[in-house]
Amino acid sequence: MGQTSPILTGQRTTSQEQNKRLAELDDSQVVRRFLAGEEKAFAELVHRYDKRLQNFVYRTVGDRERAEDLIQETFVRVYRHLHRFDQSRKFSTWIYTIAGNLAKNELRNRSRNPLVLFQALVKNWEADFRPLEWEDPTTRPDDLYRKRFLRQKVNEAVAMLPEHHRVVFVLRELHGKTYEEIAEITGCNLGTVKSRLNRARNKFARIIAPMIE
Amino acid sequence: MTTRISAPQEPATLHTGTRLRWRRSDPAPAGSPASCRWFVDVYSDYRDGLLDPDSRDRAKAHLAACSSCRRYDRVIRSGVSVLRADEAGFVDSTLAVTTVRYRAWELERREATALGPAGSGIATTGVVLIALLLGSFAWIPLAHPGAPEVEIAPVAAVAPPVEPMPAYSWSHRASALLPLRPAARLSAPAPVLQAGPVRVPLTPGVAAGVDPD
Repeated sequence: MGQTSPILTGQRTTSQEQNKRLAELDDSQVVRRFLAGEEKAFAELVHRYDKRLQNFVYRTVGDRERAEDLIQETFVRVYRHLHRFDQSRKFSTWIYTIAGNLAKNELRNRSRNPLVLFQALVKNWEADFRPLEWEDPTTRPDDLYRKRFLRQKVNEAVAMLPEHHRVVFVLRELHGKTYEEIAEITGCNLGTVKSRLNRARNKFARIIAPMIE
Repeated sequence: MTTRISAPQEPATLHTGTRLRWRRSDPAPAGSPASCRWFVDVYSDYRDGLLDPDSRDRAKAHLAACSSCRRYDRVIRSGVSVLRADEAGFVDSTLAVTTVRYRAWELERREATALGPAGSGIATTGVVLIALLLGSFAWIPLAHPGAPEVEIAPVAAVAPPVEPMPAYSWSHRASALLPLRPAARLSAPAPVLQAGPVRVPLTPGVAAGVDPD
């Protein structure tokens, strides 16, 4: 009792080895495997980009649940249209472009919906009245409060940036994209990316400066 | 003759709002190779390592000499590090690959069906419209200009004699609602309908039920 069938164990080992092999490949090789019919390669792509894209989209749209929906939609599109992807380009840029476009559409649709304003107000109210979380008993309450306050303000500072500045800032500072990649994702030229990034950093500094010594 | 315009050597003003005026707290040190404004302008390139070696050295020298620009740099670095630390625990959900596959399959199935839910609606509307058109066409007499006409004999009808009724009676509750009329006027039967010969167009519907002979 309790022993796993050797056949199942063998299958699991094979599966684990397959996952391990896929994890060692770069994006373009994983894409090629998927196009060749290896379904597990898609799971590997999801594993690689799920959280990264969720952070990016959440920073852009400011709504966690909606961000999750948009990421699911992004991967559905990737699954269906990967055969159209030009493999001479970077896969990460392509998938970020899809997610970015979906987020942009979401913001455009949202600007026409007054309900969103109400939801944002409720969300802020909940955040204001949330009790302090005592993660570390050795930390002094004022330190804890200061850290949480700083984190909140820094996140708010990002949210306060105009959308076209915010996207560029997040892609550069949090996702480490190059200027060329950002230009491709956002559909702007390099000069625009540079100036937007400079302005975004400047504005970000101005907002958070009072909180940082 | 060319005129060289030098960079303005005035204190850098990074913010003109009400919350913070970020100005240089100390005057430009003697021999400083660059102004704060120049530094802020090239800061993005400096941070991303895109400056040419000369400009990079100038920026470094300025940063070493100017406390205000050092603070500017520190604020951005600290803010970004707070963001990056927060990014790790930002997303706690993991996308289910099976859900993505199912949704992609569902979309493909819908597209493969020529008339999906939307298509069937269009078909139903079309059928109803055609039926309405045919029906209205069949019931318009003008649609049959050449149809034969039949002559109907004149009809004279006389109203049945009515018993004179009391002008007012409390015995029947309903009679209380009737208007008071003279009984004599009700006693005389009068023809209520008198029609002469009428020519009626013989439509297919009429022809089916009437024998002209």
